[in-house]
Amino acid sequence: MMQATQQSSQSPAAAPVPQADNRQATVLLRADGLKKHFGGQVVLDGVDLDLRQGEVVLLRGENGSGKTTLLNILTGNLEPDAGAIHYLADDSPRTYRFPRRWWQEFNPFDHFTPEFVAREGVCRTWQDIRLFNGQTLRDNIAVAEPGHPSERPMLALFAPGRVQRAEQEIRDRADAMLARLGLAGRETSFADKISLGQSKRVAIARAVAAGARVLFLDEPLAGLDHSGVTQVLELLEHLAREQAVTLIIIEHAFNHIYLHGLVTTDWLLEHGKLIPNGGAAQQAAIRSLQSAIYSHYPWMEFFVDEASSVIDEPLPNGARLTRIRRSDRVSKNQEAVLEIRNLVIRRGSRVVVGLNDEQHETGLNLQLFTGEVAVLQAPNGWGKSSLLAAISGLIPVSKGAILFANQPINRLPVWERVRKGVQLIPSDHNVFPDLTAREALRLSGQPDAVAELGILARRRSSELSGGQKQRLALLAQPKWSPLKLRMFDEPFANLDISAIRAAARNILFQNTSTVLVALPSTT
Amino acid sequence: MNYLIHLLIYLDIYVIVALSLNLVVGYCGMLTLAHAGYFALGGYVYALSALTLGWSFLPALVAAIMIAAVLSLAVSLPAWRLKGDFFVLGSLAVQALLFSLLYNWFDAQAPLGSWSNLTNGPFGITSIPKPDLFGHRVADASGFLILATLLTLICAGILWRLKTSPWGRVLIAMREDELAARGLGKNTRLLKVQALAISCGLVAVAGALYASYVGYLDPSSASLDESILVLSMVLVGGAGNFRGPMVGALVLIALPELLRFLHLPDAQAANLRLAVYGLLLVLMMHFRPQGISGEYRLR
Repeated sequence: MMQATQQSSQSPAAAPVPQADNRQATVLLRADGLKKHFGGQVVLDGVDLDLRQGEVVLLRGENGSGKTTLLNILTGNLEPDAGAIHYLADDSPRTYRFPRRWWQEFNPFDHFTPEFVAREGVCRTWQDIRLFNGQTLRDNIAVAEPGHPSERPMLALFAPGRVQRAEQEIRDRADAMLARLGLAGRETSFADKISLGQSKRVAIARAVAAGARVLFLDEPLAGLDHSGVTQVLELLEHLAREQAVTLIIIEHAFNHIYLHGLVTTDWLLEHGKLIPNGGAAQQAAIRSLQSAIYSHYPWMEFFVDEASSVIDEPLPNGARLTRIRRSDRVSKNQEAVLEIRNLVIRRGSRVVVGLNDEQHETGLNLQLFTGEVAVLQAPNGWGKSSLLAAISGLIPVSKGAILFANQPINRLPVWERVRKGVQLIPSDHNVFPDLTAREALRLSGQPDAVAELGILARRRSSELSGGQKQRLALLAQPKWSPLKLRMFDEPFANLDISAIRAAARNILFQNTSTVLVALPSTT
Repeated sequence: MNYLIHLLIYLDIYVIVALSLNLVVGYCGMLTLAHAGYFALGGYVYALSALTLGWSFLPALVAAIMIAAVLSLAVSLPAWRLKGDFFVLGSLAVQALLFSLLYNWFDAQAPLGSWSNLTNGPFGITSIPKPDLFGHRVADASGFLILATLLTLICAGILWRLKTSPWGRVLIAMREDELAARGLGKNTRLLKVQALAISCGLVAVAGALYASYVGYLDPSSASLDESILVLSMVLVGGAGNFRGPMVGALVLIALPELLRFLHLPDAQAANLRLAVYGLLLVLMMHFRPQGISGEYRLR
């Protein structure tokens, strides 16, 4: 029934991977009794797991349940307090037992670090991608080649013929991989010149080129628009089906639906324990979302109720502005809080905002009215973040005008705009890493919100998980300014469903300011 | 004519210094302030080998390279853990240590080169012999220019080949994102040791050339001012770009020479030179952080 729904709505959800009997497949990674605590908080409390060849695992859990901690531990980025990890993917299996003895640090061949774990065939990707932007796409993939003999400087100097032969083979392999990713002809493009979806695929391909037989993926679909999701899913299917790479995926709740056909194993991390095939309650919650996802947009359920009216407006280049108006927030005499006239924003010589569908520079026009919640959905690369940054004064505009309460604010510095009531919660770097959550909330004039964070309030922002940081960023919106316009760039990233509900409630009901939310397109 | 040859020899020497520093600063992204220390170290090893052991140019040069490369561990081992500003401070400590050793390893009663008086302290080493190659002493300026240019070309060739090799590619990956490079199985600790050893070995060549050309060496060659001068060459020219350090060396060698035409008293000219360096750095950082011909912005 579910599949029928998916097909009829032409979603990019992965087609089901043929299910091998997982119990027969070779175990590539085993962990016994992993424990980890931060301060007084137990994050992992005796986690046991087996990862088998070709398995595709969806790792679920609430914000702060320890998903990223487990990923960091299994990929050598973090040492557990106790337990053992057996890496069995390579011909020479290796076992690490924890806690490690201090003298092991002095053995250069026995470190528990990302590079040692990667050489065992266990790699990862990052949510923030982390391509080498100063290198071409070809070099990004070629650099990952394991055991490249020419990475020795003496060989590079004294055996140029051997280096060239090895290098040619590696370049050919990198070019073939780029061609498979649909990036033929872009081999010499720099990594920061491609779209988000392409970057994510190159990052996955890079990890595979490094010899990954077990690949941990931290939110591979996060921030992607519809076509980006489709492209990444195709690559993941190819890896799981054709190359039998074991995939362990941490993904945002909205995107779980896309993974249903791909995932063979479901893990729920709860109260420090890993529950295989658990998450029944979560799955039910996800299913309840599905209707919303396929009927309209995933966020609709959180913003719209019977007291709302919804107006969809098309914007150039595939973007859409959805205005949600609640009778208790919107007055009959509509006044424009924000007015954007013929706005053009450039990055270098490239126009990022202000092109029409024919790619002519006509400028963007937009109005937001008192009390409405406007959701700007646009494909990756449309310029959503640039638009929000320009309104808040973080980047300059090239042409056009931004009027706030009928006053031009183009030339005002950021702090003046904040004082006037314009506020932006960016999608990243939105907390002060060295402040505790309590300090951050006090700084923003919200001491009452400390109770909502409970024990987390005492921790530094840098020690919080991705979802916890996002919750803090949404809670710590300054109350000392006369808020008239609040802008959120991808506010639901990293959040679990209950946190999304709370965040949406916060955005909608906390006060009567106008809200602009930027999200990637899902259609 | 001699003046021009003199300038070109200086340019050769500082091109080697700047190119070798660029390997660490531009390609590894590690801003070191200890480079002048290794430059002076190369000069001292050459001078002592030639004066006290009677070695000819090539063996003394090899000794200078080897010792500087091994002692580069003083910077590369801390770099395993120290990142960013902390690495800069660590390299500053090494620079101070090297300067202090060269300045204080001195006993007026003991002969130069003995264990008690290895460096002759603040008085420096005088009468350093001109290079002696295959029984032929390179005494005249034009002959020295040929030697210096040849060594510069060899050093530049080595660095070019390394930069364009897969090893250079991994260095850039490490500079861009060390954790991501480690996540691909790259041994970044070994890379840092290799890069600093090569860089310090090559700057020792420049030190040996300088010592043999000038004939005199004192600890001021290892001063922080010198480190900042060569760092300025890399940053003004453009870090992470092969042309950049050469352009930077040319600009910063030519600049004080241009100031000569103002006919200022020596004391004022020296101070003015420092002020101009400072101003140039500030202007570059503000208007062109990637340097005159650079691609990479130091973060």
